[in-house]
Amino acid sequence: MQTLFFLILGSFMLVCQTSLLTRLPAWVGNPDLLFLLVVYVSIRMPDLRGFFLAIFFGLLMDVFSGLAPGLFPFIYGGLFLTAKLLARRIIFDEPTHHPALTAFSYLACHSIIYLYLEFFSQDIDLFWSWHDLLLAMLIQAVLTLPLFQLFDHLQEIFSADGGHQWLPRRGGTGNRFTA
Amino acid sequence: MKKRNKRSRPVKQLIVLATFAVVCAGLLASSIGRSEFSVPHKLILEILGTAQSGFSGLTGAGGGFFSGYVALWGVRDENARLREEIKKYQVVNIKYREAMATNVRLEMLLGLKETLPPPTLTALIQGRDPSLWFKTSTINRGSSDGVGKGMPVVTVEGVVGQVIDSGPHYAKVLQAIDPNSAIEVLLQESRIQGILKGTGTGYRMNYVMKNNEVKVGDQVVTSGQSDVFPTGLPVGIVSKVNNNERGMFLDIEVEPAVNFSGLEHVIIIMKSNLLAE
Repeated sequence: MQTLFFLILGSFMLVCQTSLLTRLPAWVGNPDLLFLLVVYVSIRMPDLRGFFLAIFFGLLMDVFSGLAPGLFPFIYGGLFLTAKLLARRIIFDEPTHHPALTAFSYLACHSIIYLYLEFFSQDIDLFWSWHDLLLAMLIQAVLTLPLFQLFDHLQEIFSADGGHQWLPRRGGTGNRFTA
Repeated sequence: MKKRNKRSRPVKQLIVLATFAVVCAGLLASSIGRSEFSVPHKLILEILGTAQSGFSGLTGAGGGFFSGYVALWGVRDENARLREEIKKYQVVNIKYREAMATNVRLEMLLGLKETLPPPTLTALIQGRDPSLWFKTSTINRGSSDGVGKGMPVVTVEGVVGQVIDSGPHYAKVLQAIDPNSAIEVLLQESRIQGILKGTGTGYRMNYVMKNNEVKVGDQVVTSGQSDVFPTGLPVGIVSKVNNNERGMFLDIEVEPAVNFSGLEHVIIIMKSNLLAE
């Protein structure tokens, strides 16, 4: 049920960001909602289901973006594994760290796409624009917390068991400095 | 004693009557033949006028309040009705403006369509590529309409791009400003040829030898050599010419003729000999 819900949500968000949000003024930028959903899924979903969703979102993105099919499943699959690893092993397990995780992941993903196209597609002249990239990273970081809250709320509503059993919960008193 | 009292009462009455008669006669005498009020008239007028004024004020205020209150019933309804009407006319006005703008665009498209080699097909831009590196669009025509890979897409302002993929009812268009796009072009005035490549936001014209004279403001049009785009379609205007010390080619930047962020209606040229083949 949750997987199906996220599949529908991802499709809806992609349609939004390719139709409605592209009409926003250029200085506002173009928020990548699907990317945020992939990061969310990486943090909150179990491994197998999350990976499946990330690959599926990559397939969706391939339809609307890019030239060579297969690029975005590869990118989103890599993003899922990287974000999950960072969220588990390093410091990005707190909600306040999520904007930084999103911004860092966004930069990493676009760097990989740039390098891939530069090295493997000789005829393509790509122009690295720090302005566009930093603006996009900022937008993604700003949208992270409210959208993650929204995703949490929606998944609670659509959860089959009426709860959020696979959400990470902190045990004990909540004081990280106590043993 | 009692008798005396009885005698004195008529005398007193007579004196009062006489005094009253004298006063009245005096008043009459003072008023007859005068065109303005005498002192007594003025005095009466002042006293009664003040009272009148008080009453008039009371009735006026009361009457005004009442009539105003009654009138507000109607005003409230009328106000609500007028607000509704304003909203309705605002919507109608917006629709009218939109229809006018669409009409102008379609008229221009129709004019262009008649100049293009048949057959052509109009389409509507449905969506745009959200990524930073690619510039593609989705249109509402697909293989069921005869749209296939490699077909050129143009608009009134100039070249938009080429179809790179198509489904039954929708197709994906690679915009000419995408870094993957390359079009054979020439400068309209000097007929100098080159290859126009997308940069993401504009174009760069490659392979123009340094011994050619290229000016800012030169019109860039399709050359028609690759048999994809018809000859002479506007593509852009030369915005910058750099003569680098190294290399044998000029570095020419071209500003797109088409406003890609505001694209709505496009024309697909239904060519049978596609680039993809």
